Amino acid sequence: MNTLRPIVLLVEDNEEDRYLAKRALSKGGLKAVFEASDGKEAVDYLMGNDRFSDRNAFPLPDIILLDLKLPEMDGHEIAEWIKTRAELSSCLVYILSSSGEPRDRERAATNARGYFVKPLTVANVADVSRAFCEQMHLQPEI
Amino acid sequence: MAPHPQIDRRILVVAPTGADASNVVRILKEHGFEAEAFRDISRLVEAFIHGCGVVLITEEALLGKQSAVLGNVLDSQPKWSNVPLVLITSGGAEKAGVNKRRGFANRVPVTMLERPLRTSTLTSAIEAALASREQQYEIRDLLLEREAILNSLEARVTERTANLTAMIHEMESFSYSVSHDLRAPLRVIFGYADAVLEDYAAELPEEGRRLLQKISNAARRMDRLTQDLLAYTRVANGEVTMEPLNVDDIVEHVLEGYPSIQEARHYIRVEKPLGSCVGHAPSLEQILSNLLDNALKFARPGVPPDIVISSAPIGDRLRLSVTDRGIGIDPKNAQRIFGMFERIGNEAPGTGIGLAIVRKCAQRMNGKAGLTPQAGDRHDRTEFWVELERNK
Repeated sequence: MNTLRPIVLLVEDNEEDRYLAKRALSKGGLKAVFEASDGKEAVDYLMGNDRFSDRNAFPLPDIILLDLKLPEMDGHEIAEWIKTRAELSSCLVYILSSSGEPRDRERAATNARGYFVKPLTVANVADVSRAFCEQMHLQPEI
Repeated sequence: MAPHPQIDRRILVVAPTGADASNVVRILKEHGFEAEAFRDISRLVEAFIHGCGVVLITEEALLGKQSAVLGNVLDSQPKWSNVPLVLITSGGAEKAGVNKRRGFANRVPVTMLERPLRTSTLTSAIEAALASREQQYEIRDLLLEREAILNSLEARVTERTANLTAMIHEMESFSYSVSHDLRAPLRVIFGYADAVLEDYAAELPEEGRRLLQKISNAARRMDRLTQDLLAYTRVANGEVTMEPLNVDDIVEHVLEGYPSIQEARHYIRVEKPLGSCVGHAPSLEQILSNLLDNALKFARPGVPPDIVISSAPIGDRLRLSVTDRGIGIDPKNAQRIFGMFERIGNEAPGTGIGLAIVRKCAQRMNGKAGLTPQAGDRHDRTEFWVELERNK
């Protein structure tokens, strides 16, 4: 069948959390095309600024995993900014948070597709894959 | 206006003609009064605003528009003040004097003195007027005192409200920071320990795997403790708005909305209808989910959980119960178990905060929580309950 895999952008400043997220992604059959370590780098990537101008090397993602506490611009701000960009309207944005704080969940509910409390698990990755397949009208690969 | 003895007791004398003013002032001074002379009422205004004990005025000073000017001056007084007026009239012009008096008597106390004036008549009239003025000063001082107290109270309320707001804000950012920053290293500990256990299990001796598992478990436990403590803080400090609640709906919401409870739904029987109470929906949901979690967690090993949600009116309250046939609780521990960090035994799962949250939620809704060990006619049941105001 179809072997189309979603392009994942991981935005996470903490090295250990990045390792755990990448590990869960890989166990769930996904791989991040790029790992941004702060909010500005994420925006530069999404805008195709400067070193990210080559869309073959730095393609627009299907899935964006956003840490909340980030230098420069926090995850909420990035998610809100993404909502304003027409070219990113098909991106599935997921918040990766250290906490299940109700106020974070509420704010994320309006700007993101989902909200995961870290560490990212294989089950979370399966959710993300399923949402991507639904969006692309594909049968999920088991 | 601050009290000032000399100004408070001075006599303002208004007389436009002849030597009247200076004569009266001289006599008054000779008798120990403070007095100042003015040629007409307009010149009096500034001194009047500054303060005085008595206004002494001759009939001639009130001719024409001057009477209205005096009326305006008297009207400008603060509420507590009614400066006594001593009016000197000419003999034979009594009728005119009476009219003048009428014009002011509804504003201030007026004393009429008729010419020719005897010194003793003048000084005793002035003394009486000053005595009446003195009583007004007492009221003024009380009012000033009251105003000062009110101002300082208001300042204190403002200050304390600001302090409280700052404290709540600080608490919120503290718990926010706890939930984000304190948990990060824990996540690394159990995340990496699990990664080693999964990826390198084959290369580790059994004892090594056992120790790593202990590290992972302990870090997860600490993580749960942190989360439960935060939940408790939210319950204890959060806003609680009371409204009529349909308990059946709330229970349904909990049974559907919490994955761990939803999975075990077939072990939970609900005796409908549960009725209606007055409470705060999120708090009641928290209570129910914690009690159901507990009932599932403390099931008898090897025996499927058997949980009943029921309700009963008790006076004007509704008792909502979660009854299980789990491992049970020794009656002597029944009170202790709602305390913070209290657990039945060291081997029991959980953080010991769940029931503290239940009790706090109930208290915040003006209700109470409790438990009946060995409930009903069957001694193997434990009933956890909350009592809330019944909605009639």
